[in-house]
Amino acid sequence: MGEDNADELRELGEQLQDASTVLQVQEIRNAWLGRKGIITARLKGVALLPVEERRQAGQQWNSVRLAIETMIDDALARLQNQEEILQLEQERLDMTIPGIEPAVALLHPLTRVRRLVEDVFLRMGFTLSYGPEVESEWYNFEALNIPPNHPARDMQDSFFVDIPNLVLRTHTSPVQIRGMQAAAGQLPVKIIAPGRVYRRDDDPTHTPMFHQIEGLVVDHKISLADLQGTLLAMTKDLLGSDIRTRFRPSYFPFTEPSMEVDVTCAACNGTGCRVCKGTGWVEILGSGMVHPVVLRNGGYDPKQVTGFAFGLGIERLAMRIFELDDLRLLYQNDLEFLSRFSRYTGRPAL
Amino acid sequence: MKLSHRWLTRHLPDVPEPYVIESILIQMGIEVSAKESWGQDFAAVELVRVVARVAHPNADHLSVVTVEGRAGTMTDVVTGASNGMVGEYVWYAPPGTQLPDGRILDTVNMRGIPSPGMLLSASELGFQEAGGDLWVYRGDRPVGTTFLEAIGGVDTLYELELTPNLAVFDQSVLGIAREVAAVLGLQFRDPSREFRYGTDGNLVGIVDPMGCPVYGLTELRLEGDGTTPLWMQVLLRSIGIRLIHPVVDITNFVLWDIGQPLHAFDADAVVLPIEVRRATDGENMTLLDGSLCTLTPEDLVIADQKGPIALAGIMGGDRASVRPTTRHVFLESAYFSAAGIFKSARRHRIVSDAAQHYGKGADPSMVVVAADATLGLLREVSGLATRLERSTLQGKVPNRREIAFEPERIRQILGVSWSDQQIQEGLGRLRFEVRDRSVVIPWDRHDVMATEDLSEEVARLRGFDQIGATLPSTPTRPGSRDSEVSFHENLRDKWAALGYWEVVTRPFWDRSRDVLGLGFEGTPVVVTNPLREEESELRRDLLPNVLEVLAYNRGRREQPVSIFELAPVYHQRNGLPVEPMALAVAEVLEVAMQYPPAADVGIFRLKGALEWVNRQLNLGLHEDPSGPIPGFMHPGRSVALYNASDLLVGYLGEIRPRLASLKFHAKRIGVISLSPIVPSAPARGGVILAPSRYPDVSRDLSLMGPNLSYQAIIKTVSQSGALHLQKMRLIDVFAGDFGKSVTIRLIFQSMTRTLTDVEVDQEVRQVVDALKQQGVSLRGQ
Ligand SMILES: [Zn+2]
Repeated sequence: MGEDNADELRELGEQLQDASTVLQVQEIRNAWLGRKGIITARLKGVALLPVEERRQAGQQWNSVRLAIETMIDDALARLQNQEEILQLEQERLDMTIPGIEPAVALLHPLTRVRRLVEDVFLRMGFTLSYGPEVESEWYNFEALNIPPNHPARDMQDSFFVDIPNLVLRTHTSPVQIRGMQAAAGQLPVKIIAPGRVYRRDDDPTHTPMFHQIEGLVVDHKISLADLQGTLLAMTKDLLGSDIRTRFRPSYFPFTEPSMEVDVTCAACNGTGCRVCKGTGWVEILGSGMVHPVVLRNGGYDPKQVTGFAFGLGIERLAMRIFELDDLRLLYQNDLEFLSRFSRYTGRPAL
Repeated sequence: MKLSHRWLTRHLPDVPEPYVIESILIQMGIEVSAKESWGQDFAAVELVRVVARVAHPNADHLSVVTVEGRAGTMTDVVTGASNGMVGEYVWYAPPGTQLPDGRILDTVNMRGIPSPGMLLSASELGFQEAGGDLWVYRGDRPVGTTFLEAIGGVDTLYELELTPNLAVFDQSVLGIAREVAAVLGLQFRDPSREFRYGTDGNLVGIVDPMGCPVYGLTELRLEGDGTTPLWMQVLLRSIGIRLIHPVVDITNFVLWDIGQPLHAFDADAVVLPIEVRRATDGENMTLLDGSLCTLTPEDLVIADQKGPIALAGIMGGDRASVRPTTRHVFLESAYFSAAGIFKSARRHRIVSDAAQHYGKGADPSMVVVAADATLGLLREVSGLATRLERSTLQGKVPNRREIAFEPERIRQILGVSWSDQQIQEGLGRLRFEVRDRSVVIPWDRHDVMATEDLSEEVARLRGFDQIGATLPSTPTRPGSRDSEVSFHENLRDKWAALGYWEVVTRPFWDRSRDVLGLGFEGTPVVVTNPLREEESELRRDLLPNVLEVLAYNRGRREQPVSIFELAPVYHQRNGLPVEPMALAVAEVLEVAMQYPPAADVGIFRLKGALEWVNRQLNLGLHEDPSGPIPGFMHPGRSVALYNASDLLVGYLGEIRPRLASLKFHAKRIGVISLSPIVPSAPARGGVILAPSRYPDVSRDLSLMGPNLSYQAIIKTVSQSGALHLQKMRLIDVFAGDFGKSVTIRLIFQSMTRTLTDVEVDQEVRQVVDALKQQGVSLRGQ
């Protein structure tokens, strides 16, 4: 190794300095180390040397080749780095642009609230029960101790249909009778019956179709205290443990004693506002001890068993949970309105 | 019912504060739907003394009156009144006062003299007073007293909602006062003096003792011109009762005070004797309100020898009604059975205060009490002398009902441990008399029939919050939704997760809304008393309701709409209703303008969604593009849907674009309609295979052919016998003047080894040969 090699390495160094792309460096590599490259030719020349010189020259040229490879690799790495930096710079995005959210929709608020209530009672050991919407007058009225001409028939203005003795059910209470009949004397009867019901009303707080959930428990020694306990557990489960609950006597033909349940108004927290008409309370359900006539119509002996029943308006509960003041919004199906519910992340978790 | 807090003091000398009353009402089950203060308008009206009076210089019939008011203020007021002489006390309303008729007073120029406000007559204040123009005050209050002070200050008025059971006995101030007194243990004034009727039996005969068990009639001669006492006027006006004539005002007062309706007849118009009987068929009468009423034998009437003079317990007739000039009166106090009155009032659509009371059930023992109260009040009317003449009481007050006293059952129903004595004491406060093992029910508690009712009474009195909260002792095992319900809930979840918003529509429908031209098969369930013409039947198809929601939203704003509903539809089969579940999905097929841009996949998003749901929930659906689809659907972009039993259950596709634009404000709308919707394929469980460890090989084929359908290609390829073909994917569809070209990607793989090129070529050839036999060729060959 002598002046010769140093010159060549210096020349290579200059060539690499001048190279500005990876491609150029690869061309340089070819020119030096390729099959017809300078070093390759030198290495071939070593084979022509006398045997005694060949070994030393071979080692020498090999180390030159290694040095050249290192220089080329270094240059290559430097340029690849530069090119990557350039590419990254060119690919810069405005990362303040919002992402494309997955187009996930929501169930209707009434479905979500219905399920919430169902889940509460399923956990308490109730089973779901259903009945037809086009219902016989017997199940809807007579069996529930509402004979013809009873004032309560005025309270529930019914839709009639062109099939004799049938109506659109005005409440889910007929499922009490159907549920007892299906249980056929077995105890306990412990059902909830969600469903659509119909009344001839249409204003900001009434719609001709709405949803109820009926509950019924029949067993030995069921008491009004059991009803209060069950409903307290429900309201706490649904609306949180800081909710206050008020029980008031009321009247339903199919329960005696009858009781309505109020909870503190969500909009004002009980201090009184427009939503609660200044009372601080919002009524959420009607309930009571199953009337002996109803028990008998369900096939149970009121001397042997007692029961409680309750009926909860899903719309009313939804209005309480979402602090709505116009019921009709729930039936307009305005997507602008429905999509707002995706912003609801409050309690209860829905 | 409106309740005046002030009125309560008649029966409760120590009436509690209004807010206490409200909480007691709520405890007793009486809903207070509104509460307001009354009388504030009278605070501005002031008692003044006339200190000077001179004739108006420019008008003959006017006078300028100088009055002295509060703190010696002197005011000159112009008046046209003939009374109001120096030294008299009159009521003065300064400018700014609002009168009951709505007028707001100002300072007005009266023929050149400014007159601030005015001196008032009784009627200008909404009251009645016999005598001159101005209401001259004859009491002993000082100048400066406000009219509000003179009538006892501001009152609190409650609007009460009485449930049907409470309306039976709580529809009077007495009823409410009794409840309050019972809860709080307050002193209570019970009007119990009974009028001793005479024995002029020939005045009245009861022909229908079932409809009218007791009937009392009193003949009165009035002399002079009295007006109803001011305190009574105030109470009546506060609950919105119009003042008419002292006799009528007093019967109205007694009605609301103790709950007993009374009726007064003009005795000179009555031809005795009076009969209480059923009407004859076709008999008719003109009522007080001027309406003609055609009677039936189901109606009970009070009749004289010329015909009916009152629809019993509901409304008097015009012929024998009391007029301002009436001075000879028959006063009726009676007890009618509730059921008959309720039915008659309903049949004739009459809502009167009397019917509201009798129709719910009155108290027979009050007949004589109310008569006594009325005559007592008549004596209070100044300027009116009342002379009692003949009177009679027919019929007999029925016995009170008795039921068994079962304290143990009461405890069991309520879940309490109250002693027999506590229960008995509670019932006693509400006038239920416990005798040995039975309870005597007060006459007016027609609602109490059994121990359950007594339980409610005791609970009401002691307060529902005094009952503990327990849970039923039956063992609890968490329940769950059955498979059908779970399926429906799952279905909803899937569509929502896919980006389709759930909507809830009402099932009312009418063929006038059928913009799709659905045509009608089968029989609908018709609503015979719909709220609106366009809601006259129940839907047989869910899709139109969902499309209405789509149109509503598009009508409001140009926005993407992807919605679904799972709900019943209603059919009438063999005269019986059936309510199968249906699924309807609708979506506006357009690409929202957005950055980064989204791909336009058209109907294939909806189709893919259904295919995914179909697989996830074992719907077992398969499609047929040549199956029957409704006429409103795009014939080239729709498929009929069949379930696993090859039953036609619906369709998927696009609505004809012209119809979509015309009716639904969207160029392209994709829809799905399915009913019934049930899982028709067996659930798929079992082994999930591990993937092959060997590499796969893919080959693309571009195919051409007449009427090339992807379904046909799949079928041919899968039957070609290519052993290692694992998957096939559609990667391009291209249409040009050469026809349609379809590019598919075939993926080959073995579970046991690496496939050679030769093997794969061999299998591709097999596929191509099979396709060629179906007339499909490779593009470029
Ligand atoms: Zn509130």
